[in-house]
Amino acid sequence: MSRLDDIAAIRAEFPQLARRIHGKPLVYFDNANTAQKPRAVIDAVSEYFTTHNANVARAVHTLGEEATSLYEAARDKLARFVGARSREEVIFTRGTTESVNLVAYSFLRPMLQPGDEILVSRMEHHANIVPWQLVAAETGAKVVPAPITDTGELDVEGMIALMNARTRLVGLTHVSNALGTINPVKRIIDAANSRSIPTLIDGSQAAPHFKVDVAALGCDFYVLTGHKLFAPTGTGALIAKRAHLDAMPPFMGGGEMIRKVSFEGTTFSDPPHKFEAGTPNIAGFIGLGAAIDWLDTVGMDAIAAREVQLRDAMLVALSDVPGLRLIGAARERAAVFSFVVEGAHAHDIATLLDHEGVAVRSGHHCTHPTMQFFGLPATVRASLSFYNTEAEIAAFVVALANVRRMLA
Amino acid sequence: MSAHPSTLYSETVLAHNRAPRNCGCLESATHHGVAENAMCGDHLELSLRVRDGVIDAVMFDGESCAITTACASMLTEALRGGDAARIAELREEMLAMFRSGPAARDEFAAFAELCHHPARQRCALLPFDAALAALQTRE
Repeated sequence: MSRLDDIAAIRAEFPQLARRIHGKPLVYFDNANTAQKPRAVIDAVSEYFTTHNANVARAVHTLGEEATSLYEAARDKLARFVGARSREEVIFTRGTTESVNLVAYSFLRPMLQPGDEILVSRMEHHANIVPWQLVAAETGAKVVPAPITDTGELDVEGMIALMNARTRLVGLTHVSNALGTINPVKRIIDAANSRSIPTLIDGSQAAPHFKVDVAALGCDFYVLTGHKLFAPTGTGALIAKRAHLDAMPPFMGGGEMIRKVSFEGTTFSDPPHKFEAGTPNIAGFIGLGAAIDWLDTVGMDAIAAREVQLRDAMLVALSDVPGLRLIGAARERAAVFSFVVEGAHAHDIATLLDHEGVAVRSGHHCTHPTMQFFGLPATVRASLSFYNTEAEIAAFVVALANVRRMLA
Repeated sequence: MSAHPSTLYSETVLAHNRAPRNCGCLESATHHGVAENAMCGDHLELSLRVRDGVIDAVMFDGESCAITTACASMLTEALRGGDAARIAELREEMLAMFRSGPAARDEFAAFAELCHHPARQRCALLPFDAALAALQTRE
Protein backbone atom coordinates (compact mmCIF):
# COMPACT_ATOMS: atom_id res chain seq x y z
CA MET A 1 0.00 0.00 0.00
CA SER A 2 1.26 3.39 -0.93
CA ARG A 3 -0.36 6.76 -0.44
CA LEU A 4 0.07 7.14 -4.20
CA ASP A 5 -2.59 4.44 -4.75
CA ASP A 6 -5.14 7.18 -4.12
CA ILE A 7 -3.82 9.71 -6.59
CA ALA A 8 -6.93 11.90 -6.35
CA ALA A 9 -6.28 12.37 -2.64
CA ILE A 10 -2.62 13.14 -3.28
CA ARG A 11 -3.52 15.69 -5.95
CA ALA A 12 -6.00 17.31 -3.60
CA GLU A 13 -3.04 18.16 -1.35
CA PHE A 14 -1.57 20.34 -4.12
CA PRO A 15 -4.00 23.25 -4.39
CA GLN A 16 -2.70 24.58 -7.68
CA LEU A 17 -3.30 21.30 -9.49
CA ALA A 18 -7.03 22.12 -9.26
CA ARG A 19 -6.62 25.25 -11.36
CA ARG A 20 -8.18 25.66 -14.75
CA ILE A 21 -6.18 27.38 -17.47
CA HIS A 22 -8.12 28.96 -20.34
CA GLY A 23 -11.13 26.98 -19.20
CA LYS A 24 -9.32 23.63 -19.30
CA PRO A 25 -8.06 21.55 -16.36
CA LEU A 26 -4.39 22.31 -15.75
CA VAL A 27 -2.04 19.58 -16.96
CA TYR A 28 1.20 20.55 -15.24
CA PHE A 29 4.07 18.97 -17.18
CA ASP A 30 6.74 21.52 -16.23
CA ASN A 31 8.01 19.86 -13.07
CA ALA A 32 11.65 19.94 -14.12
CA ASN A 33 11.29 23.72 -14.16
CA THR A 34 9.64 23.98 -10.77
CA ALA A 35 7.37 21.68 -8.78
CA GLN A 36 3.97 22.46 -7.29
CA LYS A 37 3.75 22.81 -3.52
CA PRO A 38 1.67 20.66 -1.19
CA ARG A 39 -0.63 22.34 1.31
CA ALA A 40 1.70 21.19 4.10
CA VAL A 41 4.49 23.40 2.70
CA ILE A 42 2.22 26.37 2.12
CA ASP A 43 0.86 26.03 5.66
CA ALA A 44 4.33 25.74 7.22
CA VAL A 45 5.45 28.96 5.52
CA SER A 46 2.23 30.70 6.51
CA GLU A 47 2.49 29.46 10.09
CA TYR A 48 6.03 30.76 10.38
CA PHE A 49 4.88 34.25 9.39
CA THR A 50 1.76 34.18 11.52
CA THR A 51 3.22 32.52 14.61
CA HIS A 52 7.02 32.23 14.78
CA ASN A 53 8.39 35.13 12.72
CA ALA A 54 11.75 36.21 14.12
CA ASN A 55 15.35 36.17 13.00
CA VAL A 56 17.49 33.08 13.48
CA ALA A 57 20.67 32.53 15.48
CA ARG A 58 20.62 35.99 17.05
CA ALA A 59 17.65 36.58 19.31
CA VAL A 60 17.39 34.83 22.67
CA HIS A 61 13.69 35.55 22.99
CA THR A 62 11.10 32.83 22.52
CA LEU A 63 10.25 33.68 18.92
CA GLY A 64 13.92 33.74 17.98
CA GLU A 65 14.37 30.33 19.55
CA GLU A 66 11.34 28.96 17.72
CA ALA A 67 12.47 30.32 14.37
CA THR A 68 16.01 29.01 14.87
CA SER A 69 14.79 25.63 15.93
CA LEU A 70 12.48 25.28 12.89
CA TYR A 71 15.20 26.51 10.53
CA GLU A 72 17.85 24.17 11.91
CA ALA A 73 15.37 21.28 11.97
CA ALA A 74 15.09 21.70 8.21
CA ARG A 75 18.86 21.12 8.00
CA ASP A 76 18.54 17.89 9.99
CA LYS A 77 15.72 16.74 7.74
CA LEU A 78 17.63 17.49 4.54
CA ALA A 79 20.80 15.86 5.89
CA ARG A 80 18.89 12.66 6.53
CA PHE A 81 16.89 12.93 3.28
CA VAL A 82 20.00 12.98 1.07
CA GLY A 83 22.21 10.78 3.25
CA ALA A 84 24.68 13.45 4.32
CA ARG A 85 27.31 12.24 6.79
CA SER A 86 26.40 15.01 9.25
CA ARG A 87 24.22 18.10 9.52
CA GLU A 88 27.34 20.28 9.47
CA GLU A 89 27.95 19.18 5.88
CA VAL A 90 24.67 20.77 4.72
CA ILE A 91 25.08 24.40 3.68
CA PHE A 92 21.89 26.27 2.89
CA THR A 93 22.04 28.39 -0.27
CA ARG A 94 19.56 30.15 -2.53
CA GLY A 95 19.63 27.20 -4.91
CA THR A 96 21.82 25.02 -7.08
CA THR A 97 23.34 27.98 -8.89
CA GLU A 98 24.58 29.55 -5.68
CA SER A 99 25.82 26.17 -4.46
CA VAL A 100 27.95 25.68 -7.58
CA ASN A 101 29.24 29.24 -7.39
CA LEU A 102 30.17 28.70 -3.75
CA VAL A 103 32.32 25.71 -4.73
CA ALA A 104 33.75 27.54 -7.75
CA TYR A 105 34.84 30.58 -5.77
CA SER A 106 35.66 29.22 -2.32
CA PHE A 107 37.00 25.76 -3.16
CA LEU A 108 38.30 25.81 -6.71
CA ARG A 109 39.50 29.32 -7.51
CA PRO A 110 42.21 29.46 -4.83
CA MET A 111 43.86 26.32 -6.24
CA LEU A 112 43.49 26.96 -9.99
CA GLN A 113 46.65 27.47 -12.05
CA PRO A 114 47.00 28.29 -15.75
CA GLY A 115 46.44 25.13 -17.78
CA ASP A 116 44.34 23.43 -15.09
CA GLU A 117 41.17 21.74 -16.26
CA ILE A 118 37.60 21.50 -15.02
CA LEU A 119 35.85 18.53 -16.60
CA VAL A 120 32.08 18.66 -17.10
CA SER A 121 29.76 16.72 -19.37
CA ARG A 122 28.23 18.19 -22.51
CA MET A 123 24.74 17.75 -21.04
CA GLU A 124 25.18 20.13 -18.09
CA HIS A 125 22.81 22.93 -17.16
CA HIS A 126 24.43 26.35 -17.58
CA ALA A 127 24.66 26.48 -13.76
CA ASN A 128 27.25 23.70 -13.93
CA ILE A 129 29.21 25.35 -16.76
CA VAL A 130 29.25 29.12 -16.40
CA PRO A 131 30.58 29.39 -12.80
CA TRP A 132 33.53 27.20 -13.84
CA GLN A 133 34.11 29.33 -16.92
CA LEU A 134 34.22 32.46 -14.78
CA VAL A 135 36.88 31.13 -12.42
CA ALA A 136 38.76 29.54 -15.34
CA ALA A 137 38.87 32.87 -17.17
CA GLU A 138 40.36 34.54 -14.09
CA THR A 139 43.05 31.93 -13.58
CA GLY A 140 43.97 30.69 -17.04
CA ALA A 141 42.33 27.32 -16.45
CA LYS A 142 39.90 25.81 -18.94
CA VAL A 143 36.58 24.00 -18.92
CA VAL A 144 36.75 20.71 -20.81
CA PRO A 145 33.51 19.15 -22.12
CA ALA A 146 33.11 15.38 -21.81
CA PRO A 147 31.38 13.66 -24.72
CA ILE A 148 27.82 12.42 -24.86
CA THR A 149 26.32 9.98 -27.35
CA ASP A 150 23.61 10.40 -29.98
CA THR A 151 21.18 8.76 -27.56
CA GLY A 152 21.84 11.52 -25.03
CA GLU A 153 23.85 9.30 -22.70
CA LEU A 154 27.14 10.11 -21.09
CA ASP A 155 30.17 8.56 -22.79
CA VAL A 156 31.48 7.22 -19.49
CA GLU A 157 34.77 5.90 -20.84
CA GLY A 158 35.21 9.12 -22.80
CA MET A 159 34.76 11.20 -19.65
CA ILE A 160 37.13 9.02 -17.62
CA ALA A 161 39.71 9.22 -20.41
CA LEU A 162 39.67 13.02 -20.08
CA MET A 163 40.60 12.87 -16.37
CA ASN A 164 44.27 13.70 -16.04
CA ALA A 165 46.87 15.27 -13.77
CA ARG A 166 45.58 18.77 -14.62
CA THR A 167 41.95 17.99 -13.80
CA ARG A 168 41.02 19.92 -10.66
CA LEU A 169 37.33 19.06 -10.54
CA VAL A 170 34.78 16.86 -12.29
CA GLY A 171 31.23 18.20 -12.53
CA LEU A 172 28.31 16.04 -13.62
CA THR A 173 24.56 16.24 -13.50
CA HIS A 174 22.82 13.33 -11.78
CA VAL A 175 19.82 13.64 -14.12
CA SER A 176 19.82 15.77 -17.27
CA ASN A 177 17.17 18.48 -17.14
CA ALA A 178 17.06 18.68 -20.93
CA LEU A 179 17.13 14.98 -21.86
CA GLY A 180 15.96 13.12 -18.77
CA THR A 181 19.06 10.90 -18.84
CA ILE A 182 20.00 9.41 -15.46
CA ASN A 183 23.78 9.40 -15.39
CA PRO A 184 25.87 6.61 -13.85
CA VAL A 185 27.36 9.15 -11.45
CA LYS A 186 28.81 6.50 -9.13
CA ARG A 187 31.12 5.21 -11.89
CA ILE A 188 32.40 8.71 -12.60
CA ILE A 189 32.82 9.51 -8.89
CA ASP A 190 34.74 6.27 -8.32
CA ALA A 191 36.99 6.95 -11.30
CA ALA A 192 37.64 10.51 -10.10
CA ASN A 193 38.19 9.40 -6.49
CA SER A 194 40.78 6.85 -7.59
CA ARG A 195 42.65 9.73 -9.25
CA SER A 196 42.11 12.06 -6.25
CA ILE A 197 40.02 14.47 -8.35
CA PRO A 198 37.18 16.18 -6.48
CA THR A 199 33.66 15.73 -7.85
CA LEU A 200 30.53 17.86 -7.86
CA ILE A 201 27.20 16.24 -8.67
CA ASP A 202 24.22 18.39 -9.65
CA GLY A 203 21.26 16.70 -8.02
CA SER A 204 18.62 19.29 -8.92
CA GLN A 205 16.67 16.86 -11.10
CA ALA A 206 17.45 13.75 -9.04
CA ALA A 207 16.45 14.55 -5.47
CA PRO A 208 12.74 15.11 -6.30
CA HIS A 209 12.44 11.75 -8.07
CA PHE A 210 14.38 9.03 -6.27
CA LYS A 211 16.33 8.30 -3.13
CA VAL A 212 19.70 10.02 -3.08
CA ASP A 213 22.48 8.82 -0.78
CA VAL A 214 25.31 11.34 -0.90
CA ALA A 215 27.58 9.42 1.49
CA ALA A 216 27.21 6.21 -0.54
CA LEU A 217 27.92 8.09 -3.77
CA GLY A 218 31.16 9.35 -2.26
CA CYS A 219 31.24 12.65 -4.14
CA ASP A 220 32.95 15.69 -2.64
CA PHE A 221 30.07 18.05 -3.38
CA TYR A 222 26.38 17.44 -4.05
CA VAL A 223 24.15 20.38 -4.94
CA LEU A 224 20.39 20.68 -5.16
CA THR A 225 17.56 23.16 -5.18
CA GLY A 226 14.47 23.30 -2.99
CA HIS A 227 11.87 24.62 -5.41
CA LYS A 228 12.03 21.50 -7.58
CA LEU A 229 11.68 19.50 -4.35
CA PHE A 230 8.19 20.92 -3.66
CA ALA A 231 9.63 23.65 -1.39
CA PRO A 232 9.66 27.43 -1.90
CA THR A 233 12.01 29.16 -4.35
CA GLY A 234 15.18 30.66 -2.94
CA THR A 235 16.12 27.51 -1.07
CA GLY A 236 18.91 25.13 -1.96
CA ALA A 237 21.83 23.29 -0.53
CA LEU A 238 25.42 22.32 -0.91
CA ILE A 239 26.33 19.03 0.73
CA ALA A 240 30.11 18.84 1.05
CA LYS A 241 32.78 16.77 2.73
CA ARG A 242 33.60 18.34 6.08
CA ALA A 243 37.34 18.49 5.38
CA HIS A 244 36.69 20.73 2.37
CA LEU A 245 34.35 22.99 4.34
CA ASP A 246 36.93 23.40 7.09
CA ALA A 247 39.64 24.31 4.58
CA MET A 248 37.57 26.58 2.33
CA PRO A 249 37.43 30.33 2.94
CA PRO A 250 33.94 31.82 3.33
CA PHE A 251 32.07 32.63 0.11
CA MET A 252 30.39 35.77 1.41
CA GLY A 253 31.13 37.81 4.48
CA GLY A 254 28.69 39.40 6.89
CA GLY A 255 26.57 38.55 9.87
CA GLU A 256 25.95 35.04 11.16
CA MET A 257 29.12 33.61 9.59
CA ILE A 258 31.55 35.16 12.11
CA ARG A 259 32.92 34.14 15.46
CA LYS A 260 34.64 37.40 16.32
CA VAL A 261 35.05 40.57 14.29
CA SER A 262 37.67 43.21 14.87
CA PHE A 263 39.57 45.54 12.58
CA GLU A 264 42.72 43.61 13.40
CA GLY A 265 41.17 40.41 12.08
CA THR A 266 38.01 38.35 11.98
CA THR A 267 37.47 34.71 12.80
CA PHE A 268 34.69 32.69 11.29
CA SER A 269 32.00 30.32 12.49
CA ASP A 270 32.33 26.63 11.90
CA PRO A 271 30.49 25.02 8.99
CA PRO A 272 27.68 25.22 8.07
CA HIS A 273 27.19 28.78 9.32
CA LYS A 274 30.58 29.89 8.01
CA PHE A 275 28.96 29.77 4.54
CA GLU A 276 25.62 31.34 5.45
CA ALA A 277 26.26 35.07 5.72
CA GLY A 278 23.31 37.29 6.44
CA THR A 279 19.72 36.56 7.34
CA PRO A 280 18.67 33.50 5.36
CA ASN A 281 15.38 32.65 3.66
CA ILE A 282 13.99 31.39 6.96
CA ALA A 283 10.42 30.85 5.78
CA GLY A 284 11.66 29.11 2.66
CA PHE A 285 13.81 26.62 4.55
CA ILE A 286 11.02 25.91 7.02
CA GLY A 287 8.98 25.16 3.89
CA LEU A 288 11.78 22.87 2.71
CA GLY A 289 11.64 21.02 6.01
CA ALA A 290 7.87 20.62 5.59
CA ALA A 291 8.36 19.38 2.01
CA ILE A 292 10.73 16.67 3.22
CA ASP A 293 8.30 15.67 5.99
CA TRP A 294 5.60 15.45 3.35
CA LEU A 295 7.78 13.36 1.01
CA ASP A 296 8.48 11.03 3.95
CA THR A 297 4.75 10.33 4.26
CA VAL A 298 4.79 9.05 0.67
CA GLY A 299 8.29 7.57 0.45
CA MET A 300 10.86 8.18 -2.26
CA ASP A 301 10.79 4.53 -3.36
CA ALA A 302 7.04 4.74 -3.98
CA ILE A 303 7.55 8.02 -5.84
CA ALA A 304 10.29 6.50 -8.01
CA ALA A 305 8.13 3.46 -8.80
CA ARG A 306 5.15 5.65 -9.71
CA GLU A 307 7.27 7.83 -11.96
CA VAL A 308 8.60 4.78 -13.81
CA GLN A 309 4.96 3.90 -14.64
CA LEU A 310 4.31 7.44 -15.84
CA ARG A 311 7.55 7.48 -17.82
CA ASP A 312 6.68 4.26 -19.62
CA ALA A 313 3.12 5.42 -20.31
CA MET A 314 4.49 8.66 -21.73
CA LEU A 315 6.99 6.83 -23.97
CA VAL A 316 4.16 4.76 -25.45
CA ALA A 317 1.89 7.79 -25.88
CA LEU A 318 4.58 9.92 -27.54
CA SER A 319 5.47 7.14 -29.96
CA ASP A 320 1.96 7.49 -31.43
CA VAL A 321 2.21 11.23 -32.17
CA PRO A 322 2.92 11.72 -35.88
CA GLY A 323 5.93 13.89 -36.69
CA LEU A 324 7.22 13.87 -33.12
CA ARG A 325 10.89 13.12 -32.53
CA LEU A 326 12.20 12.51 -29.02
CA ILE A 327 15.58 14.02 -28.26
CA GLY A 328 17.57 11.58 -26.18
CA ALA A 329 16.85 7.90 -25.88
CA ALA A 330 18.73 6.92 -22.76
CA ARG A 331 17.99 3.50 -21.31
CA GLU A 332 18.13 4.95 -17.80
CA ARG A 333 15.86 7.96 -17.85
CA ALA A 334 13.55 10.04 -15.75
CA ALA A 335 10.03 11.11 -16.77
CA VAL A 336 11.47 14.09 -18.66
CA PHE A 337 10.93 14.26 -22.41
CA SER A 338 12.44 16.72 -24.84
CA PHE A 339 11.01 16.61 -28.31
CA VAL A 340 10.53 18.44 -31.57
CA VAL A 341 7.57 18.22 -33.90
CA GLU A 342 7.99 18.40 -37.64
CA GLY A 343 6.77 21.70 -39.05
CA ALA A 344 6.11 23.31 -35.67
CA HIS A 345 8.42 25.47 -33.60
CA ALA A 346 8.82 24.66 -29.90
CA HIS A 347 7.60 28.08 -28.76
CA ASP A 348 4.49 27.93 -30.91
CA ILE A 349 3.71 24.46 -29.56
CA ALA A 350 4.14 25.63 -25.95
CA THR A 351 1.93 28.70 -26.44
CA LEU A 352 -0.77 26.65 -28.12
CA LEU A 353 -0.55 23.82 -25.56
CA ASP A 354 -0.98 26.42 -22.82
CA HIS A 355 -4.33 27.27 -24.30
CA GLU A 356 -5.29 23.62 -24.01
CA GLY A 357 -4.40 23.84 -20.30
CA VAL A 358 -1.06 22.06 -20.72
CA ALA A 359 2.04 23.67 -19.16
CA VAL A 360 5.32 22.60 -20.77
CA ARG A 361 8.62 24.36 -21.22
CA SER A 362 10.00 25.32 -24.60
CA GLY A 363 13.40 26.66 -25.44
CA HIS A 364 16.94 25.60 -24.71
CA HIS A 365 16.36 24.65 -21.05
CA CYS A 366 19.54 26.50 -20.02
CA THR A 367 21.56 23.86 -21.88
CA HIS A 368 22.94 25.57 -25.00
CA PRO A 369 25.79 23.05 -25.45
CA THR A 370 23.34 20.13 -25.30
CA MET A 371 21.09 21.80 -27.86
CA GLN A 372 24.09 22.55 -30.08
CA PHE A 373 25.11 18.89 -29.87
CA PHE A 374 21.72 17.87 -31.26
CA GLY A 375 21.73 20.76 -33.75
CA LEU A 376 18.53 22.27 -32.37
CA PRO A 377 17.77 25.83 -31.26
CA ALA A 378 14.95 24.67 -29.01
CA THR A 379 12.83 21.74 -27.95
CA VAL A 380 9.54 21.27 -26.14
CA ARG A 381 10.01 19.61 -22.78
CA ALA A 382 7.34 17.73 -20.87
CA SER A 383 8.47 16.76 -17.38
CA LEU A 384 6.26 14.74 -15.08
CA SER A 385 6.00 14.18 -11.37
CA PHE A 386 4.30 11.54 -9.26
CA TYR A 387 1.10 13.60 -9.03
CA ASN A 388 0.57 13.48 -12.78
CA THR A 389 -1.80 10.88 -14.20
CA GLU A 390 -2.29 8.66 -17.23
CA ALA A 391 -5.42 10.70 -18.01
CA GLU A 392 -3.27 13.82 -18.21
CA ILE A 393 -0.90 12.05 -20.61
CA ALA A 394 -3.90 11.21 -22.81
CA ALA A 395 -5.11 14.84 -22.67
CA PHE A 396 -1.60 16.04 -23.52
CA VAL A 397 -1.39 13.84 -26.59
CA VAL A 398 -4.80 15.03 -27.84
CA ALA A 399 -3.75 18.66 -27.27
CA LEU A 400 -0.51 18.03 -29.14
CA ALA A 401 -2.38 16.59 -32.11
CA ASN A 402 -4.66 19.68 -32.17
CA VAL A 403 -1.65 21.98 -32.13
CA ARG A 404 0.05 20.11 -34.91
CA ARG A 405 -3.08 20.34 -37.08
CA MET A 406 -3.27 24.08 -36.49
CA LEU A 407 0.34 24.76 -37.42
CA ALA A 408 0.45 22.38 -40.37
CA MET B 1 -5.71 35.83 -19.14
CA SER B 2 -5.14 35.91 -22.86
CA ALA B 3 -7.76 35.24 -25.48
CA HIS B 4 -7.71 31.99 -27.37
CA PRO B 5 -4.52 31.78 -29.42
CA SER B 6 -6.50 31.63 -32.63
CA THR B 7 -6.36 35.43 -32.32
CA LEU B 8 -2.57 35.25 -31.97
CA TYR B 9 -2.19 32.48 -34.53
CA SER B 10 -4.55 34.22 -36.94
CA GLU B 11 -4.95 33.11 -40.54
CA THR B 12 -2.74 36.04 -41.53
CA VAL B 13 0.07 34.91 -39.24
CA LEU B 14 -0.29 31.24 -40.18
CA ALA B 15 -0.34 32.06 -43.91
CA HIS B 16 2.84 34.11 -43.68
CA ASN B 17 4.44 31.34 -41.61
CA ARG B 18 3.53 28.68 -44.19
CA ALA B 19 4.71 30.74 -47.14
CA PRO B 20 6.95 33.56 -45.95
CA ARG B 21 7.61 36.39 -48.39
CA ASN B 22 11.16 37.41 -49.26
CA CYS B 23 12.73 34.47 -47.48
CA GLY B 24 16.24 33.55 -48.54
CA CYS B 25 19.56 35.12 -49.34
CA LEU B 26 19.88 38.57 -50.92
CA GLU B 27 23.03 38.35 -53.01
CA SER B 28 23.22 42.08 -53.72
CA ALA B 29 22.72 43.20 -50.10
CA THR B 30 24.42 46.36 -48.90
CA HIS B 31 23.57 45.66 -45.27
CA HIS B 32 23.28 42.45 -43.29
CA GLY B 33 22.14 42.00 -39.69
CA VAL B 34 21.56 39.16 -37.26
CA ALA B 35 19.37 38.97 -34.16
CA GLU B 36 19.00 36.15 -31.69
CA ASN B 37 16.33 35.36 -29.16
CA ALA B 38 18.15 34.22 -26.03
CA MET B 39 14.94 32.75 -24.65
CA CYS B 40 14.44 30.15 -27.36
CA GLY B 41 17.63 30.20 -29.40
CA ASP B 42 15.91 31.55 -32.51
CA HIS B 43 18.25 33.08 -35.06
CA LEU B 44 17.19 35.54 -37.73
CA GLU B 45 19.26 37.16 -40.48
CA LEU B 46 18.02 40.08 -42.50
CA SER B 47 19.64 41.64 -45.54
CA LEU B 48 18.89 45.03 -47.05
CA ARG B 49 19.84 46.69 -50.29
CA VAL B 50 19.77 50.41 -49.66
CA ARG B 51 20.17 52.96 -52.48
CA ASP B 52 20.13 56.68 -51.74
CA GLY B 53 18.54 56.04 -48.34
CA VAL B 54 15.75 53.94 -49.85
CA ILE B 55 15.39 50.20 -49.23
CA ASP B 56 14.87 48.66 -52.62
CA ALA B 57 15.30 45.02 -51.64
CA VAL B 58 15.04 43.10 -48.38
CA MET B 59 15.17 39.41 -47.50
CA PHE B 60 15.35 37.37 -44.34
CA ASP B 61 16.49 33.90 -43.40
CA GLY B 62 16.81 31.87 -40.25
CA GLU B 63 15.24 29.39 -37.93
CA SER B 64 12.34 30.80 -36.02
CA CYS B 65 8.85 30.31 -34.64
CA ALA B 66 5.65 31.18 -36.46
CA ILE B 67 5.39 34.60 -34.82
CA THR B 68 8.92 35.61 -35.76
CA THR B 69 8.68 34.17 -39.25
CA ALA B 70 5.35 35.85 -40.00
CA CYS B 71 6.53 39.15 -38.59
CA ALA B 72 9.76 39.00 -40.60
CA SER B 73 7.75 38.22 -43.72
CA MET B 74 5.45 41.21 -43.15
CA LEU B 75 8.37 43.46 -42.28
CA THR B 76 10.13 42.74 -45.55
CA GLU B 77 6.98 43.75 -47.40
CA ALA B 78 6.55 46.88 -45.31
CA LEU B 79 10.11 48.03 -45.78
CA ARG B 80 10.52 47.62 -49.50
CA GLY B 81 10.53 50.98 -51.26
CA GLY B 82 10.61 52.82 -47.95
CA ASP B 83 13.05 54.94 -46.04
CA ALA B 84 15.59 53.14 -43.85
CA ALA B 85 14.48 55.31 -40.92
CA ARG B 86 11.11 53.54 -41.11
CA ILE B 87 12.53 50.45 -39.32
CA ALA B 88 12.96 52.20 -35.99
CA GLU B 89 9.57 53.89 -36.35
CA LEU B 90 7.82 50.58 -37.01
CA ARG B 91 9.53 49.02 -33.99
CA GLU B 92 8.31 51.87 -31.79
CA GLU B 93 4.80 51.41 -33.17
CA MET B 94 4.97 47.71 -32.34
CA LEU B 95 6.04 48.49 -28.76
CA ALA B 96 3.25 51.05 -28.44
CA MET B 97 0.79 48.43 -29.63
CA PHE B 98 2.03 45.98 -26.97
CA ARG B 99 1.36 48.66 -24.36
CA SER B 100 -2.01 49.87 -25.51
CA GLY B 101 -3.55 47.56 -28.09
CA PRO B 102 -3.72 47.99 -31.86
CA ALA B 103 -3.77 51.41 -33.44
CA ALA B 104 -6.43 51.91 -36.08
CA ARG B 105 -4.32 51.49 -39.22
CA ASP B 106 -1.39 49.52 -37.90
CA GLU B 107 -0.02 47.27 -40.59
CA PHE B 108 1.20 44.89 -37.88
CA ALA B 109 -2.19 44.66 -36.16
CA ALA B 110 -2.00 40.87 -36.61
CA PHE B 111 0.37 40.90 -33.61
CA ALA B 112 -1.87 42.96 -31.33
CA GLU B 113 -2.76 39.87 -29.29
CA LEU B 114 0.87 39.76 -28.15
CA CYS B 115 -0.03 42.46 -25.61
CA HIS B 116 -1.47 39.47 -23.67
CA HIS B 117 1.66 37.32 -24.22
CA PRO B 118 4.61 39.28 -22.81
CA ALA B 119 6.85 36.20 -23.03
CA ARG B 120 6.31 36.09 -26.80
CA GLN B 121 6.70 39.81 -27.61
CA ARG B 122 10.40 39.32 -28.18
CA CYS B 123 9.50 36.94 -31.03
CA ALA B 124 7.85 39.74 -32.99
CA LEU B 125 10.62 42.23 -32.22
CA LEU B 126 13.37 39.95 -33.51
CA PRO B 127 12.98 40.88 -37.22
CA PHE B 128 13.10 44.59 -36.34
CA ASP B 129 16.26 44.03 -34.31
CA ALA B 130 17.87 42.15 -37.19
CA ALA B 131 16.95 45.04 -39.51
CA LEU B 132 18.34 47.65 -37.11
CA ALA B 133 21.51 45.58 -36.71
CA ALA B 134 21.76 45.49 -40.49
CA LEU B 135 21.67 49.28 -40.68
CA GLN B 136 24.69 49.38 -38.37
CA THR B 137 26.75 47.30 -40.79
CA ARG B 138 27.76 47.49 -44.38
CA GLU B 139 28.79 44.68 -46.65
